[in-house]
Order: sequence, then C-alpha cells, then structure tokens
Amino acid sequence: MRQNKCILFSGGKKYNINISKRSDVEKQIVMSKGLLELSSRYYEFKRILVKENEVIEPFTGIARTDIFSETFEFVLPCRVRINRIDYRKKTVEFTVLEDPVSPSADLLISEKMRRSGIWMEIFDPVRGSCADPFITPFEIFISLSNNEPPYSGNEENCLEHAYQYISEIIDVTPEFRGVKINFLFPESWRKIPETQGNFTFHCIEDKYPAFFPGVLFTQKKYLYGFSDNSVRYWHFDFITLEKIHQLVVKNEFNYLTPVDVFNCNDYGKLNIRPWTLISDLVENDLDNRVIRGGLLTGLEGINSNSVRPHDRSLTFISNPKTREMLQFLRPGFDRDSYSPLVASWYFPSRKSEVNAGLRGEKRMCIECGYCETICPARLEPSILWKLTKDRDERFYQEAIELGLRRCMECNLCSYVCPSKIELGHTITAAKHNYFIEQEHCRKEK
Amino acid sequence: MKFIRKFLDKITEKTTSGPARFINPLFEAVNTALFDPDIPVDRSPYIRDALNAKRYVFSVVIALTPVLMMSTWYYGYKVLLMLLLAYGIGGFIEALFAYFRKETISEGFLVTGLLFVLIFPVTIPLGVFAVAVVFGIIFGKEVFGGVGHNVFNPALVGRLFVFLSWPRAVSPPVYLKPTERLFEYASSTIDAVSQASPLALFKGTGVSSSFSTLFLGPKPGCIGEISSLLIIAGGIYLILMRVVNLRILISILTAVVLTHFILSLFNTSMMPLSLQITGGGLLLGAFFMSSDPVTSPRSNSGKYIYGAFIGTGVVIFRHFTPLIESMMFSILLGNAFSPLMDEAAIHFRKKKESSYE
Repeated sequence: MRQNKCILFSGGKKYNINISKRSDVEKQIVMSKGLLELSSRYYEFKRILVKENEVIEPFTGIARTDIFSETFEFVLPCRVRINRIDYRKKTVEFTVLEDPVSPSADLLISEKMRRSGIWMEIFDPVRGSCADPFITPFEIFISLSNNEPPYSGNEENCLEHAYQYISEIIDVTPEFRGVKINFLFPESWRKIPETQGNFTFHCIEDKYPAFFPGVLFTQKKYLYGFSDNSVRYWHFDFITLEKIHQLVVKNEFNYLTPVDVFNCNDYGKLNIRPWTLISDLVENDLDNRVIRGGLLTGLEGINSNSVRPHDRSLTFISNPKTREMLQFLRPGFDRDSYSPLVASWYFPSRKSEVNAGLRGEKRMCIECGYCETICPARLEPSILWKLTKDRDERFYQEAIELGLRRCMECNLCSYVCPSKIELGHTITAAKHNYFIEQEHCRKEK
Repeated sequence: MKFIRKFLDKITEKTTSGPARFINPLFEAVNTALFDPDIPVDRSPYIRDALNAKRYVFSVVIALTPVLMMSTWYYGYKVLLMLLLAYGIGGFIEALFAYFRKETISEGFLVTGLLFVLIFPVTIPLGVFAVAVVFGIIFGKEVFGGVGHNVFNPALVGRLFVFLSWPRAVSPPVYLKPTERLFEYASSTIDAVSQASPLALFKGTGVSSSFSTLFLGPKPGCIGEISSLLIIAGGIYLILMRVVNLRILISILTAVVLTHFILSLFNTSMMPLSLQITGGGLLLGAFFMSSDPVTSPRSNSGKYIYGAFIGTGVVIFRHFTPLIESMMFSILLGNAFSPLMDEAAIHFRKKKESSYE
C-alpha cells in the first residue's frame, strides 16, 4: 500500500486519497469494518447462519440461499466478528479480525475462493465486476485463422504474432486483466507455444466447437439449466476487442483494484483491500462518482459501501459540469465517440474529456443502426429493444428467435445510442425474465 | 454567453412547474439546442457517446446546404422563403403535438422541412406549398406517433397529396429556366423564360440534354434537382459519416442500371443511361429520401431488397407510364413494403440462427 497518493483524473483534476500515515493504513487493513448486503437484484439470502458477537473462521458460511435449484453459502475470505445483524434490511455488519489476504497468499486465496463456490470467477472482459453469478463469463476463447488481420500471410510464426497482438491489447486494458485466455488455432499450425500466464493454447479440432473461423468468443456458464447443455458460447471478433479497448482505455480513468482478485504488483495504480469503506479511501466525493466495477456495466458505489472482494476495480468519473454552447455545430476534438460524426474519431490516440453525463437528450429511436455495428454478439439491439420494451411476454419468443439469449450484456449498445435509449437494460431484463419463466416451467413439469 | 445561460436558468423553474408550463416543449427545445444538457446518467454504462440526436440530424442539413445555396442563386430568394415557411409550420405542428403528447420536440423536422423545399418546383404557389407541409407532417408523421414511428416519408406524403390535388402546380410541363436571379421573386405564372425538364424534353422531342447540364447543372426541374454533382457530394459526405447506409444506395443504382439494360434490349428508343440516372430526382431520392433510416427496412438483407425494389420501380414507371418523376411513387411503395421485407429477412435469419443453437 502506498501513501499520500495523488492521481490525475481524466478531466485533469487531482484527487487525494485520505490515508495519511502508515500506521493508519495498517490499522485500517486489520480493523476494517464491513457490511454484507444479503440480497441483490437477482437473489435473496434465505437463511442467516451466524449469530451476533460470534467469531467466524475464514471460508465458513454466513448465509445460505437457493439460486434456482442449487444451494450456495456466502463466505468471507477472512476471520471476522459479527457485530450486528439486521434481519429486516438483510444486512450483516462485521469487523475484520485477521486478514489472511497478503500479497504472497494471493494465489492460495483465489484458489480457496474458487472452491467455495459463491465467489464466481469474476473474469469478465467488459464489465469490471459482477455481483450476479448467472451472468458471469469467466474465460475468453480466441480462435485464430489465417484470415484475421494481424497474422495473415505468414503461417509459421502467426501464432506468436497473434499472441503479441492480443497480449498488447490485454496488457493495457484493465478490464481484460485476470481473464483466462484460451487460444484456439487450426490444426495446420503445428508450432504450439507453452502456457504463458493467463494464456493457454488449444487445438480447435480437439475440444472446442468453433462456429466461425477466426472469431473470439467468451464462454459463459449458467448455474441453472435452461437446457441440457449448460455451457454457452458468445461470439466476439477482433474488431470488437479493439472497440472495447479503445472505448475504455483511450480515456485514462482511475482504477483502484482490490488486492485479492489477482496478483497486481505490476499494476501501477493503488491497490486496496476488500471490505475497506469507500469513504475511507476518498474525500471530496461530491463532484465525482465512484463506480464499482467497469464503467460499462458496473454499479454506482455509495460512500458508506465497502469494497467487495469480487469488485474488479473502483473507477472514479467526474459529473458533468460545463455546458457547452451549440455543441452539435462544433467538430468535437475532445469528445470521445464511436461515430465519425465527431472529430475525435479520426484521432484515436488523442485523449478526450469524459464525464458521467448523458451528453444529449433522450429521444425516440431513429434506427440509425449504430447499435448493430457495435454489438459484439452480432445481434440487432434496436429490434430486440422494440420487442421487449413493453415487457409483453408474447413477443419474447420472437426475441429469442432473434438471438436474445446470445446477448452478453456488455451495454455497448446503450453507450453508442445517439437517442440515449437504455437498450442494454431493457434487453437484459427481458433475458432474465425469460430464464426465470423457463425455470418455473421446468419445475412445474 | 453567460447571461443567456443565466436567463435560461431563471426561466427553467417557471416553465417546468410554473404558470408558463404550456411552452415547456418549446423552451426545452431551445434550451437543449443552445446548451449541452448536464443530466448525469443514473444507470450503467456511466460513460456515454458524445454523438447525440442533434448532431446526427444536423449532419443531413449540412450535406444539403450546398444544394440549397445553389438553387437560391438560380431561383431567387423565394427558396429561402419556402424554407422559412416549412420550418415555421413544421416546428409549430411539432410543438403542438409535443404539447398534447407531453413529449419533447424532436429534431427530425429540420431534415423534413428542408426536404419539403427541395422536392417542389420554385413556381409552386406558397399556399399550395403550405398545404403540402401541413398534410405531410400531420398525416405522414404525427398520425403514426411522431418521429421514429412513421411508415412513409412525410415529405413525400405531402408531395403526393398536392400532386393529386394541384397537378399543374407541382409538376408543370415546363419549369422556370434557372438563371442568376438571386433578388427576383419567382412568381407562380411561368412566362417566357421557361424550359422543360431533361426527362420531359427527351420524352417529347427525343433530344437529350448535354452532360454538363445534367451533371453540373443548373438543370430545370424541382429545387433540389438543380445539380447532380452537389447531391452526390453531399451524399458522399453522409456515407463517410455513416449516416446514409451504403447498402440501399448500391442496391438502387445497380437495380436501375440492370433494369435499364434489360429494357433497352427490347426497346431501341430508350433514353441514355446518364439521363436515366442524373435526369430527374433519382439521385436526390436515392441519397436523401430512400435512405431515411426510419422508413427503410432495419435488417441488412432487407435493405438490399428495398433498394432493388425502388431502383427497378423507377425505371419501369418511367418507361411504361406517363409519370416522368416516378421516384416519389417508387419510394412510397418501397416504404409500404419495407416491414414485409424485414419480415422476409428475419425469417431467413431465424433459420440460420437456429442452426447455431
């Protein structure tokens, strides 16, 4: 942990971290208070297993829930004393007594967390964190072919080229960090490199059904079975990878990374422990927003919240302040955009000021087609949105036929929409409703 | 500029909840047009694209401005009067409907109003023009539920209505000859300085206009048909800016060329291809009307079918019917069939989709 760290903001603003003395830091690590919220949008904890003033060993169950047909216990990676349990709000307050999380023990902890079940592998390329175990992709599969841009022409060392190309992108994209990456390649490429870090190499013909040659896709595991095959594939191509990379990395945001998610000694920014209160980390929080997780799909953090172990990162982004006059007549060199109508599109390396503003007004859909061009799953989000916006279940079947289940909930469609429609949220909600219905139907049978 | 901002901030309270509530849609439109809104997002994603509806719509206006400037130079200041009229009436109706629906005013009428000016000859009486604007916006757009819901292109609906009611005013046998007359008012009666449009000239006498007239202009006809070059330039700008979909355009032009060659096999007195493409309103329609995203099909394969339909329709109408300016009819027919084309495209996609799962 470093002290007195100043971080430059995307808007050029300086931000002070509240921790001043080393002793404070250590005290904070050991005695950090935490608050467990035992319900979320998708699940609710049925039974609390602990009592007040009880001391709990690491990785013992605190609460239990049924997520559809499977039972999960919620655990903490440290020794804690339970202070107060509020049954009405479904919250548990606790104090960390002994923190087993140390930089050297990272691997061990992550292994334990993996085994304990509820800590899903929150390794998602787009969203930073995900509290929802249903919608968490944990691996990326990149299948390679001779047709892809970075390695056309030279068959001998094309795998190395591909590796370099992708690892460069992944190295500088915080959102991709810690993702388990599998390369799938054709059988004709004989030279197989060894496993390097997060990268592993497979032969396509052996194991994985690659639908399109030269496509990158994530694998996502559903905890409940809406079909017999619980493993699904999401398609992704290289252009998409670059798109996400450009959107997220072009503007330097501040990331605070919880320490135990992955080994981040070389990460450069400030690392923090889980269960630290956000208000302990930052001061002056009125002008800025704290986003737990990625900017595209994260949740807004309130200062009384604590950093959770499954939060990939904390991001700070400033609220909109200045109101530009006649902005639609300006070329917009300093406005980030995916569209060539804004001049910054032609200068991708140039930094642009980004804030948490809507940057436009909500309008009707004009079917401009930007969402279709950016969708990583190659869906048509505008059509899906029109089918699902009224929550009319009659149209769900049609949406399913158009590939609703393939939506990977990256929210890129909401990002690009010039009419500022919440496409991603509507489609995601419809998808979850559909799955819940399916589950009910299955139980009734 | 700070005093404007302060003034607007002062009125904001009164218009949102105070006595002047009825002008709120109008006030909101002015307020958001002048200044960037400072609404913070309340849901993920917490970053949003800088592109918004205003910039998107205004790019079409920018692309059409050269055409408008050239026609003002050749047809006189009546063109600008018509533009003012179209924007005034269109904005008023838009605001009226926005007030009753309790919605915000959409920017779409900026493009529609401009297109209204470009698809009429300059000799049209202003009264007839006003009727076209009122009818087009109410029955072409607002009846269906406003911007984003319309089935037909509102400008073309208005033109169709007055074309059937006052055919002589909308499509006269001879048009005003374009000469430099910036400060003259083009009256409705056509006197000595008149000229037939290239297509009518060919149909009547069999004489084709010179290439420079057809391509560079000025050529007689509707206001927006004055120069093919400027329309193509504006269209290319929109294609590069990804506002106009290239698929529809390619499909229309291919269909026109193919149909033309097939028909010319059976008919030796067919007009030349250059006249077919640049003679009438085909380019204006192809670049700015048929590619309107709301009324064209949503799916990509549907767009190809739609373009082919329009392109074939234009040539067939021109060849077999007395209607010379047939782009309007074939675009309106294409609009009517575009949901069907989407259905067909989606039907094929479903089969493909089901093979993945």
